[in-house]
Formats: sequence, C-alpha cells, structure tokens
Amino acid sequence: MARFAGGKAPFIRIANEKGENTKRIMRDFLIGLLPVILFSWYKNGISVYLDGNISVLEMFYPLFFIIMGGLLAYIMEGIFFYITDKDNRNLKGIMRRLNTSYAVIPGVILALLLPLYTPIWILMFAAFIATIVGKMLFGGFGNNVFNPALLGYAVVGFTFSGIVTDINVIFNGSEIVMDSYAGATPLGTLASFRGTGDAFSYQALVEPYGNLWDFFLGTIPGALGETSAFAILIGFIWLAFRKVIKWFTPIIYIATVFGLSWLIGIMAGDSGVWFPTYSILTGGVMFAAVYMATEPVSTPTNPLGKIFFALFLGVLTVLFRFVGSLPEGVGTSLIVMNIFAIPIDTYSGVIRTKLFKKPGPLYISILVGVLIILVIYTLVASGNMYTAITSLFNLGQVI
Amino acid sequence: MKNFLNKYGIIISLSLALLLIFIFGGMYSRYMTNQIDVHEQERYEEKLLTIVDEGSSLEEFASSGLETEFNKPNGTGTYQPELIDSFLVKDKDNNDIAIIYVVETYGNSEGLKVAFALSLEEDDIIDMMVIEHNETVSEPGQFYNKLIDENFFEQFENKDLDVIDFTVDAVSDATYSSKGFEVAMQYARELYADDFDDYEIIEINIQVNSVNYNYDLTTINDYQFIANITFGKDNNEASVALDNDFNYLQIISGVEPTASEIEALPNYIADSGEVSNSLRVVSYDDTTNTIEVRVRGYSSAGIIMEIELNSSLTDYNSIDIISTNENYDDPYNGGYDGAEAPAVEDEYLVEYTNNDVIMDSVAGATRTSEAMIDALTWLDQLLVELNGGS
Repeated sequence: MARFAGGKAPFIRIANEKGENTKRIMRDFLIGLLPVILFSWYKNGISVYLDGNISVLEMFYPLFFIIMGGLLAYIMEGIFFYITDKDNRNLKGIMRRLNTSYAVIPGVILALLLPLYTPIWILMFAAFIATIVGKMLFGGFGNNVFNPALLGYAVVGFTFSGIVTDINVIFNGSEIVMDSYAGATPLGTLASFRGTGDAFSYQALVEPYGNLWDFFLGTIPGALGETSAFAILIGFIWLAFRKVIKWFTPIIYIATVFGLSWLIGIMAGDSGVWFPTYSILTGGVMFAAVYMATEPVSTPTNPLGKIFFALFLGVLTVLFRFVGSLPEGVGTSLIVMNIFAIPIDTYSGVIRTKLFKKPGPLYISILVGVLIILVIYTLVASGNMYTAITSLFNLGQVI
Repeated sequence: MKNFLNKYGIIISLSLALLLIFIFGGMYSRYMTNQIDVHEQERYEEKLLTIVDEGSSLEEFASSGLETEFNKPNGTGTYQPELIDSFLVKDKDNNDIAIIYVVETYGNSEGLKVAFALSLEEDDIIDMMVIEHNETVSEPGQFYNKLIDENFFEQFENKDLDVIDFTVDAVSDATYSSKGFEVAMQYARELYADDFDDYEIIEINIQVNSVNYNYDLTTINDYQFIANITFGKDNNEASVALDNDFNYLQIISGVEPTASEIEALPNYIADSGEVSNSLRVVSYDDTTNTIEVRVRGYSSAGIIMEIELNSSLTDYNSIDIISTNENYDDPYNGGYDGAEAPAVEDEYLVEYTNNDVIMDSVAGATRTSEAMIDALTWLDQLLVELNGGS
C-alpha cells in the first residue's frame, strides 16, 4: 500500500519504507547495470586479452569507456549547476545537487549503447546532449521528456553516423580475426534480406555468429552493453526483485517483438521459433526492455499505461526494424514512444478509473484501435511477407 | 587567492577534468583505434602465413610490381592486375623459404584478391588463398560455389612454375572466376621472375620448317614423323623424330632442344598444319615386307590396311583392307546411294591397283574417301621415296 504524507492536498507520496527513496532506487538501478558492465568488459576486454589478441592497455579500455560515460555526465551536470545556480557555486552546493540528480546513470547507459571504438570526443558530445539537452534543459532529474541516454545516442548516431558506422564494423579485438560475418552485425545481415524476396534462413542469420546460445550469452558483435541477454536477464531479475522496475514492462515489450517477428518469419517462409528468438536477442531489444523502457520519468507511471507503452514500443520496434531504413529500430521506437508517454499515461489513467464510463471506452478504443492499425500496417509493410499476406487473406485489392 | 579559489575553484576543476578526459581519453581512444589496423595486419599476416606450412614469420618484401596487361575474362578489354602485398616467408631458422604475393585481379567482378605462395627453392606454387572477392555466391552449387565444389583450387597446389602451359582448367558456369584466378597465378609468376634474378620464365620460340612422314623402312617402326625446326634464342636448327602424336622421340640431326621446348613441340607441330596425323603406321614387318597402316575416317577406329611390298621394295604386291568400321551406307547419314560398306574402300583400292588412280571423294562418304585418299597418297609417296625420289 502506498503511503502519503499527511495534511491537506496536494498529497505527496513518500517512501513505503524508511530508506526506500529515489537514492536507493538509483543505487539499485546502478547495481542492476553491473552484470552488463562486467560482461561488456569481459567480452570486449578480458576474454580478448586472454586469447592473446590485445594488450593489457586495450583490455582495460571497455571499462574505461563505460566509466568515462558516467564521469562525463557527472562533470557536465556539475558545470551546468555551477552556471545556473548562482547560490550554490561551491563544492558543497554542487555536490548536493549532483547527489540528487543521479547524473552517472544516463552516462553509463549511453556508453553501453555505443560501440567500443567510438572516439572519446563523440562520447563527450553524446554525454553533453544526453545530460544537458536531454535532461537539464528540461528541468533536470524527473522532468526529462526523452530518455537522456537514448537522446544522446540518437543524436550522435545520426550526426556522426559515418564515424560510428565505420567503427561499427569491428567491435573488439577478437572480431578482427573473424571472417565469417565480415564485420556485419546480425541486424545488418537481417537488413540485407530486404527486397530480395528470400526467406530468412538460420544459416545466413545465425550461423555466421555461432548459434542462438551465443546470442543469449552475448558473444556476438554489437554495442558494448546490448549483446548479452544473459547479463541483462540477471539485471532484470535484480531490478524486478528490488521493485525498481515493473517486471511486466520488459516482458510485454519482448513478447510483442517476439510475436510479431514470428508472424513475419512465418510469412517470409520460415516458421521456426529460432527467428523470433533471434529477433529479440539481436540489437538492443533486451537492453532497452530492461533499462530504458522501464525508465520512470520518460515512460508512463500507471501499470495500464506501462502495458500500452510496452505494446506500442514492441510494434514500433518491429515496424522500424523490418520496414525502416536503419536495421535497429529500438532507439527510434523508444524516442517516439517517449513523446507519447504522457498521452498514454493520461488515457490509461482515465481508463483505469472510468472503464465503462465516459470517456473511458473512447480512450480505450483509441489506444486499442491505433495499436491494431499499427500491427496490421507493420505486418503488411514488412516487405518479405507482403505477398504472403495478400495471397493468404486476399487483401491485395484492399491494400 | 583564497577568494578566487573559493569562487572559481570548482568550475576550474570541473573544466580541467573535462579537458583532461578530452586529451588523455582522446589519446587512449586514438590508441585503441590505431590498434584496429595493427591487429588487422597481424591477423592478415597470420592468415597468410598459414599458406606455408614451414613458415614461421613474414617480412615485407619490396616487389617490382611489374606492369603487364591481361585480358579481362569477359573480353571487354585489358587490365593491369594490382599487387597488394608481398612478403618473404621465413622458416624458424630465419631462412627465406617462400614469397607470398597478394594480387588483385578481375573475375566475374572486380576485387578478386588472391595470395599465392611461391617456393624459392622449388620454383613452384606452394599453395594459394582467396583473401576476398565479389564473385557470385548467392546460387548454391553455381558460379563461385562451383569452384569450391569441384576442387578448382587444388589445381594450384604444388604447380610447377616451369610448366609451359601455365594455365588451370576452368570450371563451367564459373569461367570468368576461373580466369581471374588463372591471371592472378600468371601475374604472380611474372612478379616472381621479375623479383628474383635466378628464375626466368621459360620462353619457347619454335619455328616449324617442315614435317613429313618417315618413309625410311629401316626406322619406320621407330618414329613416324620427321620435323625440321628452328628454335631458341640462337635459332638452332634440328631435324627431330616424332611419334604418331607429334611427341619428340629423338634427335636426328642438329642441336637437341631443351626439355621445355620438347614439351611444347607437339603443339607447335599441330599448329603448323604441315601434316595430319590421321594416318598411322601400325607396324612394318621386314621379313614379309608388310606394312600395316591405320587411317582415321568417319569412324574413330578407322580403316586398317595391309600393304605388301615386293622383295626389292620398289612397288607393292598387294593392298588389303584388314578392317573397316565406316558406316556411310547407314540411312541415318544420308547422301550416299552406292553399295553397302565397304564398297567405297574397295572401289578406291580397285581404281588404285588397276588404274593407278586415286579417285575423288565419293558423295555421302566424304570422310571415308578422305581417309582412303590419305592412305593411298601416303603409299604413293612411300613408293616414290623407295624408288629414290622418282
């Protein structure tokens, strides 16, 4: 049962138990990121070093890069506070502001979203966008519309796409020696199927990287934090156990991506469960599901809103992934959904309290209707299955 | 000072931290980026080194990068293959044992990069490795995939650089790709010859002056043809004995050709058009003065004739057809309206033995006629030679 501070309205919710405050939540969130950070260091640094492919200096770089992400965000917020808060231009004042701003988390997430060989100056720029533009200019912690880390990632992804893409070809020292996939990420390989009319094949999509177990463990190429579903799963269990995140948001999001990918796979000529499994284990689906789709500020707050948010997010991810020009889809769909977080929160809030009274049915119709239209459009527009759909349901004339 | 630090110390510290991250983090980041190239080169060289089993290390080698044009496989002109890299391969004792040339040629598409390792000791190709290519791989069992399926690449292993016909067998459906690899191999050999003075590509220069049947009955069982050739840089002259397939058997007079020239000789003789090897002397029996010849007609088994010479070896006593497989009278062939086989052969023999006439070709049995004409013309010439040229 939620507890509220006594007195006259407005009521301010307080922690359920003593010490269960934002600081504890953010600490737990950071702990939840640890499996991903450690795996990222192991995969891109330690194991490559143990294989004799890189030097000690190179081995520490992944950890350095992730720490730099957090540190840069921290310093930039500190400078922002110094500039904007004239009354607290001292160490004590700034530290107090920083302690309640939790600057490190978006910086660390940002670093985990980027490939290992991203130049530091790009990380600095991304951290600036994430922290200053994405967070502080919106009013600081608790007021940001977009997920700050994602905004930073998206801006450098578009602005410096050439540099980041060039570096993307190689993700760590071990991958230099791997000829089998010639530098392409799994999603890049998936994108190569567009317009070919070829059925998805396990041989082309999975085998160059090993098997689906490798995808689960995360030994495939990808950005620092996104490859290991295993590490993310540990983080998820911890965060859900500590009630930092709602457990159903990642589950619904991943299930939506899984289901739609399965349908697309079936219509593209392969009904194997491997394809939707591949789909959720590639790119940033798992990472976003646990660490970004659950972000408390830029996503809906009520449970029904979170469910709708996750459903929409899943549909958009599949839409952008299979139809859009970029192979990933997760980042774009999250940014889009960040914009709609408030309307969804509002609508779902009304639906919860007025399910059968005006305007509850209207709102639920709008949300469900838009969702269904998006699902249908996603399935139809997913090139490979277009023909299959028209032949299966004879929708050709309608479409 | 204290006031200044109180007022600006924190912002200076934060800015300084940012600057330090920018400088030292940037250096670290740059180092990492540079390491990509270093590691790529290491892996690349490790990969190349696997071509040579005894190889222990590689050392960059400054090749001449010889300029020479080759035809594009699709016949749209010529191009200069590109030398990408060259490395000396050293064994564990640091001795140079091989050279690796990485060359880029043109197959079905541009960008066919192949590494060839050539043995410095044996002057042969140790092995090769495809570094990268843009050939068609989308069709299973076809194009580039067919090269793999049909073990095309095994042809390069241990291939002697001194082979006159320095080519490989192309694979059907992948002929452009095959040609691309062949050119890469040939270019590697040319580079090798240009880079190492102790190796020369053997150049064959043979001029066929005349080729004749051997009409000398004392040696007719030993060799069938005698060719007069001019060859080599010094224009050496020789009269050489050849077997039925124009293979060199022995020197009759003049300078003996080298092994490479001997290897190349059959092609030169065949290309000269001086003589056809459709007629073969199967045997000559000097006790019965009987010569058995076989001449190829419509049937590959041909017509086998036995010619018995008189005791003074100035004329023939008889000519008999031992066997013939010609089938010009088969309705399937059409055009022939005479008696059934071997009517044509018999008619040629009757005209020749009775009237000393070699008939013109018989319609519908042209190939058989040509075979009989060849045989009787050969006999005519034999008799001329046996009679001292008259």
